[in-house]
Amino acid sequence: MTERITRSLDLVGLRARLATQKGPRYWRSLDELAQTPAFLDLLREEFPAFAQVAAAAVYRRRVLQLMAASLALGGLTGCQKEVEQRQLSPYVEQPPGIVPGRPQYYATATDIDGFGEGVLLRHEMGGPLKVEGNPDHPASLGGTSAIGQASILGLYDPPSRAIDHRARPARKRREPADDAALSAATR
Amino acid sequence: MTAVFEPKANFYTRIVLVAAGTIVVVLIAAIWIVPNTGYATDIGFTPPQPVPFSHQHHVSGLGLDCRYCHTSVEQSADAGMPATEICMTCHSQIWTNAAILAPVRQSLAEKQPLHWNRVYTLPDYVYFDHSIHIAKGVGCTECHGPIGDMPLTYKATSLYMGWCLDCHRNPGPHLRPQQSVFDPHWQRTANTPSPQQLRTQYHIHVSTLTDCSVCHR
Repeated sequence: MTERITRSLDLVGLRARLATQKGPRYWRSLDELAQTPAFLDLLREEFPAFAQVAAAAVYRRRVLQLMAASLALGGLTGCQKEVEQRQLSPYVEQPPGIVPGRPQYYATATDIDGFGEGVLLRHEMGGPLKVEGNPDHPASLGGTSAIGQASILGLYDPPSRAIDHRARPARKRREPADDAALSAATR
Repeated sequence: MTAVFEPKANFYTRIVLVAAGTIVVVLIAAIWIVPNTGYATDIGFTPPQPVPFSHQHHVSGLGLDCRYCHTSVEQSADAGMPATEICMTCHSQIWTNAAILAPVRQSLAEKQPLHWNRVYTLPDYVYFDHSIHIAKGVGCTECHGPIGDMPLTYKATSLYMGWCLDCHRNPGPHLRPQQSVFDPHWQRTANTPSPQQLRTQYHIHVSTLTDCSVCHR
């Protein structure tokens, strides 16, 4: 069979094609180089899976080159300057007792299995930051459970967490799910 | 035996040597020079603002104190940006129809805050507190440059760590008497206490001022 294919090669045409090519070009056989219909038929019969790959003209070396280049160029993102423009959004009417940059505390309770756990919520201009135990609460005396600590996450709803709070108005930043209750308590 | 290298190899060797030397020199120069360019330091960076507020007019021209608007600078880490109300204390009386003040009036009418673009931004891993610097006699202009003469607010210093440390290693020359901290045009005079005296007076202990945890908490 091989003989038949080889005989059908157009050697003159092949030489002419090779003469126009430069640089490292590799081929597994002259037949592949020739890309004769007979050779392609053989390929399809012997290696059905490879025929697809050959038709797609994806080369292992090219893939590796692109991967290496992608890795190398990936580091370039570190050269970019920070382009995000941060904003300052002061109050319209400054509420008394609130100093920008100074956290405030407000006593509240988290609900765990129907029992209230007395906690102090640290917040800055209405944005909840941290839950700690309330030392004045008779049940906890300043301690918190893991669930109590984690309860702060319940104050954030997923859509507003996706937004950078610094780009948001001060009043609305890190919008708590229970906004009405919190702003009533902090006002 | 034939020569291993053809004559043109000499030429290529020279090219490679010159190129390698150039690359090293350019790299070293880039590492030294690029961080000090305006592109990297952002000195002179003047972001657009909703209202083209002029410190020159309000501070040097009218003589407003810094603390009239930046109310929390003596008590808090944040200097504080003026609430719309503070702008309107005066602008409900003067320039009440000025077109450039429309965003301020709109903010008050709609109860929506003004969104000023930050000129100075510190990374989250840096702890900075305005109040302690004020309390220890560091004038506003030490970091904010000639803020009282800026028609539009621009960034005057790089905020590089090296720049912070320059002062934390030797704070004396940047200190001033307490009554001059907010003076935008303060100059050292013959009557000014010496840097050493001021350091002592403010109880500044330079030995701990460069501890990592002073700024990276």
